[in-house]
Amino acid sequence: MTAIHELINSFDLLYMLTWKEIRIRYKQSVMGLLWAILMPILIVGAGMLMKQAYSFASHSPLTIRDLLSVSVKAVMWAFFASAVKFGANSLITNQNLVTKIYFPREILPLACVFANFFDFLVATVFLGLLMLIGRAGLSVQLLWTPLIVVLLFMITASVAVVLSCANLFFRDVKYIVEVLFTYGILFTPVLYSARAFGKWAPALLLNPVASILEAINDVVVLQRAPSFGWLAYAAGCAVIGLLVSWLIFKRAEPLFAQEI
Amino acid sequence: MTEISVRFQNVWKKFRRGERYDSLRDLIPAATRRLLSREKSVQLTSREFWALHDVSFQLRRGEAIGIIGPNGSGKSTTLKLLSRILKPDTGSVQVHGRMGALIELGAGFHPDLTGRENIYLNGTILGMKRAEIDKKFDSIVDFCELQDFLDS
Repeated sequence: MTAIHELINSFDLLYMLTWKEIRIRYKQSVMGLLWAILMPILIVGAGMLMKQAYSFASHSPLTIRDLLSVSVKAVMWAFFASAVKFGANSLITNQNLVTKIYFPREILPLACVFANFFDFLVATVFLGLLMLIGRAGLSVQLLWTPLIVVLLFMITASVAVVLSCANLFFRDVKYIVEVLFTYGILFTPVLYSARAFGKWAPALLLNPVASILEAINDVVVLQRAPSFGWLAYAAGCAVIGLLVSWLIFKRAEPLFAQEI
Repeated sequence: MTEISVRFQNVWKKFRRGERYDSLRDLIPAATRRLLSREKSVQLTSREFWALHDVSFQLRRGEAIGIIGPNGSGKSTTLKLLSRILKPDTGSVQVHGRMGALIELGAGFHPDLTGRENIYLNGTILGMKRAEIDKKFDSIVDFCELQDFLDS
């Protein structure tokens, strides 16, 4: 209970650290705001290349909808991947703070997630433009978007919090994370649709990030209701994930300063 | 009114020499043991030593204390326990009121931020609210005498 109180009390610190992360990323950088869409653009490029190969093989033409699907999913995935990567390193990069002053340490990974969420918001502006050009149209299903984004945020935060803690005790965690994310994108329906796997699709959707990506694709691009079952599953994972990761983190926190 | 502001009661703190866990193989049994046994042990393994051995003191409001001792006697450990950076193995540490740890100058500063941003960042790190810093901003700037360089 005191931990929750402490976290709420540290809101201003979270705000300033998030601000710091955003500032140092955009200050003295060549790319400026384009940085936020660099990773999504690369993912979309790779996705379109793959889809083109499929369409040659199956003689079904590429549609603008394919492009939009991959773009929407790419922006979501880019947020997840970069927030977790930055978050996992956050305790180590702020070693000087961890060993010298007390504050709830989960603020550090959380600030990274929030800073990457800023990038995500920048990218959604570009995404909105793309949807306009692609005449994606609007539907009432778009109202699901905030919920789906919040779920992704919660899952991202849980993973970042646990990994930041693991990385403090075992420095090789960041290399493991690097490898997992390099190939994780292939195991998650970012460049393709889980539906393509027919009856095997549920095996892919067990990954809550996959269920979330399919849900966002349903409501934004396909303009239909998401699969409630899988969305509820993702919501369960998000809530439990957040609680469990925070408990683990709090349990290990007193050791941080001496084990770092 | 003699209000106790700092109470340090029968504090024991142990550290380990050298490497901690070299591999997951050593860690998993140790971690499960630690999770299962909630009681804090006062036993030492061969590589451990007591940095603080049953230390107690208390301060009333308005009192000041200085800690003197040779290198390695536990002065910094005491301060780190006071500021909650470390946690005692047994015993308790209570502090009433705000803690102002004068950490190494510049620990929280970031060279890419302006002076103004650094003031806010460090203020919040020390536990202040942004509204509080707004109020004290002028006196902070007066104190550091860097008025002309605040935005660079």
